[in-house]
Amino acid sequence: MSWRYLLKKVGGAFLTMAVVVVFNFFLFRIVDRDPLAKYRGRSKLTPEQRETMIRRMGLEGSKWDQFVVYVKSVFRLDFGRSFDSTQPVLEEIKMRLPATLLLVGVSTLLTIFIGLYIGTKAGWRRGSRFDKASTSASMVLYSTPEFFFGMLLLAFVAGRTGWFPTGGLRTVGADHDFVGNILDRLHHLVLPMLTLTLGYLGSYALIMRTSMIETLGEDYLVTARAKGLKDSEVMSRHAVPNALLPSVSLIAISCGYIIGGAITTETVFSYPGLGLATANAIQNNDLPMLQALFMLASAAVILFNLIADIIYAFLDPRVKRVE
Amino acid sequence: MNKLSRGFIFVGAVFLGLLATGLSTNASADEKLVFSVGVTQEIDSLNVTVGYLVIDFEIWNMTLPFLTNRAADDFSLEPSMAESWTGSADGLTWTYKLREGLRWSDGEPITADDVVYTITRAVADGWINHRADLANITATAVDSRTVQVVSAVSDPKLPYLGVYILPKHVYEKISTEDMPNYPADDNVSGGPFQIIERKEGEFVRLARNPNWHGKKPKVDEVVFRFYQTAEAQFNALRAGDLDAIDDVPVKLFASVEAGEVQDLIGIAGNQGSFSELAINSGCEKGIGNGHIALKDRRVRQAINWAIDRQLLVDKILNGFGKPAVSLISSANPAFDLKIDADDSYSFDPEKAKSLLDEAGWKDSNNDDVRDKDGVELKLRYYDRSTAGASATTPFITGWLKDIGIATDVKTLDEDSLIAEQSKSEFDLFTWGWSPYVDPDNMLSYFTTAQVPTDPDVGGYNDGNWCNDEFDALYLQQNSELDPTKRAALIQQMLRIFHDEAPYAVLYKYDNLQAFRSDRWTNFTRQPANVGPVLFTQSSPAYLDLEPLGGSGGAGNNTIFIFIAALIVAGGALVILANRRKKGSDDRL
Amino acid sequence: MKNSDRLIRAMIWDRRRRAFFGVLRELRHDRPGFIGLLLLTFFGLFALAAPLIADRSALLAASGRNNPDLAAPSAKFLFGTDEIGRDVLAQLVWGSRVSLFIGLFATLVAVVIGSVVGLVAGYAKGKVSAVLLAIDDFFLVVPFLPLAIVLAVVLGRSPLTLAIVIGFTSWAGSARLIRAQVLTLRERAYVERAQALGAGSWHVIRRHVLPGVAPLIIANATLIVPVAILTESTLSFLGFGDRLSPSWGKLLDGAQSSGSITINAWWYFLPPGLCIIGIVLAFTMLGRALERIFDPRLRGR
Repeated sequence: MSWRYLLKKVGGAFLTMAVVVVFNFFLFRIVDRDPLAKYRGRSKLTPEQRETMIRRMGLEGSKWDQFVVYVKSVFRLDFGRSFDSTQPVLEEIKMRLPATLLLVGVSTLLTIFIGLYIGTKAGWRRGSRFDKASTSASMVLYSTPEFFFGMLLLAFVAGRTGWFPTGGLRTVGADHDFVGNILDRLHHLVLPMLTLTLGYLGSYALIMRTSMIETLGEDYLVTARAKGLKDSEVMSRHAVPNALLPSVSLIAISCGYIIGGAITTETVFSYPGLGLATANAIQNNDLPMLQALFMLASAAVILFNLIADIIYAFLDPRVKRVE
Repeated sequence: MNKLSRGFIFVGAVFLGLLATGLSTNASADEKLVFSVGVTQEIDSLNVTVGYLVIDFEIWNMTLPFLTNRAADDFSLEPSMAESWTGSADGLTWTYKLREGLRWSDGEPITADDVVYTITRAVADGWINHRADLANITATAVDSRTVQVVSAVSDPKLPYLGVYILPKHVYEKISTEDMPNYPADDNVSGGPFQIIERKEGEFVRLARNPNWHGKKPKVDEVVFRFYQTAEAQFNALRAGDLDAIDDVPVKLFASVEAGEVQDLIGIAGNQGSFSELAINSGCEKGIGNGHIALKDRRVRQAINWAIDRQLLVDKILNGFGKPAVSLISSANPAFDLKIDADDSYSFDPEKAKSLLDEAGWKDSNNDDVRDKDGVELKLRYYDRSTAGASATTPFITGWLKDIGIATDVKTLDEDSLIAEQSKSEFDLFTWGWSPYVDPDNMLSYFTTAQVPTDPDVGGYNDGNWCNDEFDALYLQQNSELDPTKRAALIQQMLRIFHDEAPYAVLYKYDNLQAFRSDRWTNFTRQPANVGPVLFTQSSPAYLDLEPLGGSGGAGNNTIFIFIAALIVAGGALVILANRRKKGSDDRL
Repeated sequence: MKNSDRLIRAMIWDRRRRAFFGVLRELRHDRPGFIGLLLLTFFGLFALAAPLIADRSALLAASGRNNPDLAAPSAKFLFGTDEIGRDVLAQLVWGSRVSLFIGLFATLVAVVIGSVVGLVAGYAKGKVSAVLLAIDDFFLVVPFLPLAIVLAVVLGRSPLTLAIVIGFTSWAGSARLIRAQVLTLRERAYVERAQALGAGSWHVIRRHVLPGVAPLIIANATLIVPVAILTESTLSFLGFGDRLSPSWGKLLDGAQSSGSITINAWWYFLPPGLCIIGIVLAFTMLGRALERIFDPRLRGR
């Protein structure tokens, strides 16, 4: 991997982030009709106080002045105060971030792992009964809205049996030790995680199957198999690593969808993470919160794409040549 | 069998194992008596100077003291911080004597100073939850246990003074500018409970306040947990994660009432909450751009006649409520408008049509929408985005269409709707109110003084309606100290409101709450027999709750699951290990 | 002159017709694609036959006046009734029109934007292409659902605006694909020759590039429809959909908020859920089959 390639990709990521920042500025100024509409106690403000408030919110002067103020505050990670909780947006996000990282992280890992396993196996033995069954199942999973899984799990598993908690992050007021606390969190995580995993498993399996089939068509693999190398060896040494390549960037792009999945899943299970915060911020017109969440989510996807590009370059020597 | 599948099996087994252990830890029993309440509304703010949601009030009722209180049974006046009071002959001056040895939860004494400080600052800073009750009031401390309150006008609400008293030693450190942002995380309580833990967006946990002067609650802790959907919350109750829930969807409540769900009881309590269709009546003294037709009382009445309130009650409330035709001014049903059935708005589309004809709105261009002088009778109809708030909309728009009124429905979040209302730039919108015990507040909202004249300030009068007779009667009832005469004046006002129709009041709805009857008993309702248990005017239920030994059934299940999960995990490993032995001729 | 024009047009049409039937023939041999086509035909007929199956008035809120609420399926109501006593089947058939409209119109918007951006970015060089690519990159990474919700809240919630919002947020992938295809095409000999002969850009795009990328656009479009339908149902579920149109997403939301899943009123929540799964499956299977047919490298997928 050349430095030039790396530099180009990092530069591209920064450029995209810059577009996000600009877009965010305009998007939320379209939504925002009355900047003080949600400020508590606005009826008590004197005209001078109103002006101070508006200045502090960076809504004074020409659009260009506002833009400069806005960009500066973005660099300081200062997103103002949430209209709803009246607390700084950054604090709110910090508080909710771990829950979402846990949910999305674990689900993504599981989805990738299981999806790759199923997809590889199906692609390797194309046309087999396993392939047919798993491809059909993946298609159905792909076609089902993840919140539909969630609704069914909530009513039929959590509500009826009580085997898993119906929502939340932890057992309130329980005096667990460190290990107990972790297990309690995991116990609460199971259903939301299952929902999110089922929701995205199908597409990952299909992606992996396709790239496996494409890889198997490559000459060197055909040769390797013809030479009489053991199938298991061909598969683990040659086919899987090569089939992983195209999946890497596709999976990175689908991160954006998982963020959407986190919104619905967290809503179904009242799981207090950033997804739920996003849904609530939209519902309550909490613009400072929404703006920050939007920026954070975009930054996350951009980062994942960048990582994917770099991994891609590491795995595939051909990238160097193309560049 | 290859590395990949072995890895897969390993991760799968670890996962199942974790799951099983996770399940088993749930069985660890809690010694404390905890009453967990599910709510679908998140706390807006614990800060009593800015919060305004029902859940906020519940927590203030539990943690902040009052001078006087409302009895659980009938809202009658009760001592609280004040053990006694005396009034002057003219009813303008009241002297309250505080109990001895009152203390905040942090050990500081509660004195007359706290009361005077709260009243004085609330008036000066115009705190939203205090200012209506304190509008004409000044307070002075006679000694550390005696407060003298003077009202500038004679006030039928006194000597009840239901404002939250705040700890001076905490609040005097917060400036007026910083007050709206104060998160109220001091946890200094003067009520029966105190907040001990709060995770925003998750729960708030309250424990008994050891310094509370009154009845000692049997519960050790009360927890409010936030659920995003009413259905999730119901499932949590059914599964035993919760002990009580508010806001049960009507069909689920019906299934509880029918005994279809084990160990649950439902309580449908009424405290006067109602829903209405507000009509922009175009007050001349106000601002805004309501449809010209709505200035005509006959058009507003026609809208009222076109609505089948009984069907709304049957279908949307599943019968858990009552049709209503005028303002509900009090949580006490004794104040409701008494009106002949013939006079009140029954479902009569023909009458509605003839009223519209009479007002000159006819369909002259045969487009099925009435018009007059080239203006079509097409109304903006705003709907709240809040879950469940729009159930009446498809019904009402359908009926309006039947009488020749077209509607343009738009869904707005609550703040945007308030912004439109503050400008009186709407034709119709749906919302609701929950009245206090004394009718004064609710009635004051429809005086001319509350008609919005400045969008930045707004006003409560969301029918944008003004009526001199109503205003005069309001002032009269506000100073009438004879309860019977006052009640008669209020009846007159409600009748005017009915006839003038700035609202199409739709129905009074019950608060549907459900409880674990296997764990708790003695659910105190306010008022007795008809009111709800949770989210009442003074929240007395938590003091009376009695536990019934039975703990949740979750423990038994988890042991069963623990074993089942272990068997599954073990079985999977055995099967997969066997498959591996089959050798390398199996390609995978 | 006119005659030869007509002749050419006839030839073009003939070629297109043959291509169409050729694709159909190939589809018959592609099992998943064929099933998708059948399913799609079924849903199409279902939507067209709406007036035959149920009267529109059955959608009115007050139409359940004399019916029991949440009643199980019976001879009168084949799919039972909803929480206010309305016929579920009527809402399902009329809802298919709303859901299909949103899915198809959103796709149209996405494909038009995606094709224009893709064609221009692929054909033009230099700054124009760079700017378009930056915008495309942005739409690829921007979190799709929050953006769609914010736009839906700002612009309103009618089926038309929802479709535009969904289309506006989902064109980036197709633009990317089309650009790549254009880049390979423009290196082809016949395109280069046409340019050498002095053909204008527009002519080259219309006559040589567009026909070359058309199959790809069609296959890609078929795969956008299911995403659009899923997005609409997600918006409805989160409470940001149009509440007065009986889309399948709205039905599912109604089933959820009335608690029908908890009290096991399966006739209310299963049909819209299964319809969404069915239509998404149909479009996805068909779209993947078309990809296989148009792109021989993918054969055997």
